Amino acid sequence: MAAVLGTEHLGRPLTDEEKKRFGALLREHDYPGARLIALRFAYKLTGSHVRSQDLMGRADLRLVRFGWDPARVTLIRGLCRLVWSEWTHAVESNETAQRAEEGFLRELEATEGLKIPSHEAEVMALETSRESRTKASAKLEKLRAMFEKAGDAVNLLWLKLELEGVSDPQQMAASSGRDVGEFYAAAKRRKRAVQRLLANERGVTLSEEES
Amino acid sequence: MPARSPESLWQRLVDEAGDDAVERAVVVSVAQAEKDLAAAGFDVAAERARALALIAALESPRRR
Repeated sequence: MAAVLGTEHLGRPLTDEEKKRFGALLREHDYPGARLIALRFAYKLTGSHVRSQDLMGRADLRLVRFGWDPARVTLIRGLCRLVWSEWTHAVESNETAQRAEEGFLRELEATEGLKIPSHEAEVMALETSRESRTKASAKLEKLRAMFEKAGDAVNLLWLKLELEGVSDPQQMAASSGRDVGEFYAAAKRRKRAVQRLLANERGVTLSEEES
Repeated sequence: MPARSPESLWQRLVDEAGDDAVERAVVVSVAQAEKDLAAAGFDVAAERARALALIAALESPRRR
């Protein structure tokens, strides 16, 4: 069965025919079973019934909004990716909503004749960009501290070289005199460290099995 | 060699961590997920009913 485009791509609600086809596609691919696997994943990430169900509900909504192509990704993997995406954006969403609200208020001001000076608008854009850079830098600092605490010299080096613009493990090995295999092996530790960092920021401690 | 921005590096790290977490999540069978969710106190039948309700909502024609 062919892909179903979501409302986001179509720019309109699904027609009855499209909805029916989407429903049949989900039924054919055991959506209830796939959803249980994704819910289990959501629970591992949040450690909470309420938050995992909320996360799953938002993933469901995004599935309908963005559609699904079974030829590109399995339903289980697609749902789990949506869960991860929603989970990693949960903290930022409140700030985004606040910014959207500020934007809306400014728009109202503009329609009421209170035009925002362009200089002020530029300053706001610059502040947003700086804020985003500062947040990313703070997270990278936390990650660096985790590597230092763990005595992970390879990942400390990887982080430094990446920020300098070196991304190729062969180049990293050549410039550091280390074996390239060490950089490949460090990738797994790095992914788990990022997972733990994200979980900690959300007040969750991942179990050994999960990190 | 141009330096990489902290934003793009952090986003790449999050994406890679996500791929790793998802790969580990998808290898679980439906039966195992049911067992784990039940052990964690979830009402598995109710969760299945939620999923079926979404399918039913999609399959039912819009009211005119």
